[in-house]
Amino acid sequence: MQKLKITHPDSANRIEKGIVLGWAVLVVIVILVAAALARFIVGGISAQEFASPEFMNGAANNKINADQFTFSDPWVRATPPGTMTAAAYLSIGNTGEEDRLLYARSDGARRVEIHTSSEQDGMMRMSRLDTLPVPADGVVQLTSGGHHLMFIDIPATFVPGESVIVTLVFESAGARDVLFTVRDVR
Amino acid sequence: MSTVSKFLFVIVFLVVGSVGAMTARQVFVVDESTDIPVPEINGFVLQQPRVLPEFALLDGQARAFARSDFESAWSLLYFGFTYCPDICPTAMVEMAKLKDLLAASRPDVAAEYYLVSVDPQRDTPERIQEYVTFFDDSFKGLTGDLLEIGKLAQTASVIHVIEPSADGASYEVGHSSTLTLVDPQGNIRAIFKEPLRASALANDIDRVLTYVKRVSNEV
Ligand SMILES: [Cu+2]
Repeated sequence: MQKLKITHPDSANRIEKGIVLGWAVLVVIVILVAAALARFIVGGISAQEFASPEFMNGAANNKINADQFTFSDPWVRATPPGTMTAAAYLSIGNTGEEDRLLYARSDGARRVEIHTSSEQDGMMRMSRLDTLPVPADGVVQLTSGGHHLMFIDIPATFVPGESVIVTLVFESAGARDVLFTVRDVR
Repeated sequence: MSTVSKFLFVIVFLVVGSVGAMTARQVFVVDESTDIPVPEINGFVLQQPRVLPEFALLDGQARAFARSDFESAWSLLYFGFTYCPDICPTAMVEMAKLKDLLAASRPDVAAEYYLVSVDPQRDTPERIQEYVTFFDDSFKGLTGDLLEIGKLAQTASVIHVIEPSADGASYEVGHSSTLTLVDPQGNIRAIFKEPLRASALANDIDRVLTYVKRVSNEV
């Protein structure tokens, strides 16, 4: 009886390759099954879904840009030397529920009040508002001749180009820091 | 209550009532002595010039300033106060633009620009001087005794009031926001109303000056 001998070196090589290939296929299958299982367990976020714009926006909205408010063009009127007061303006856009601005504070003044200018009995009067309503899905504008934030007892004059942080405190939404730029409108 | 009582200010001025009515009559009565049409402006042209009373105020250098100091040039008067952060600076800015516009369109007309304080407790001569010159180097400030200020304001139909604020810790100032045109003889010729905008004011003043000249030539 003659023992079967594999004499052709090429054929031996081929069998080794086949075994390696077999293992590789098995590993790939295991990985795919594991991935499928993992996906099933985690609750179904595919790589495509993870990279989708909707998902990215959702993450952004929840973390960085969640604010219902937009603060446009915040500025403070540059003050003449020796002045004790200054007026600050901005517009507050609100995509959320109705809210109210309760008060404001800043290192730029001993006190910040919400004021409104109006004509009464032939006189221009400036009066303090207790709160400033911010309508739902609306905008409230603080502009010259209307509402303003009144800085009272400012330690230094406001020089154009400088900026000052004002904390606006809303009844429901809480506090927001807004950076106001000093502007010379002469 | 003791802190509240420290503040001596109560309402000081009320000029409305009869003066307002007189003003309205002077302004609206048609003067039949001349055929020259009265220009329509954003405010009032005084067909019978209103003579300023004698008064004693201080300028930005704390020098005495009297009625006669208005003579020699046309004057534009804004009544306000330096503690005011919104209305008054806006008016000052427009007044500075107006000065440039008039200097260009009426170089023949010499004019001075004044802020008259209605809050002399805060507005010392130094204070008002540094305030007005921030807007224009040539601007002048007037302040002084509130009663003296009142004489000038009353003739200009300017109402002003000082009242304790709601919390009693401070006071609030109210004032008419108008521009008063005084001729070089010390007579009020026109009063301009809000909105005080430089370009419209320059046009209106130009027409008032033309009107005044025609009227005075006819007399
Ligand atoms: Cu104010």
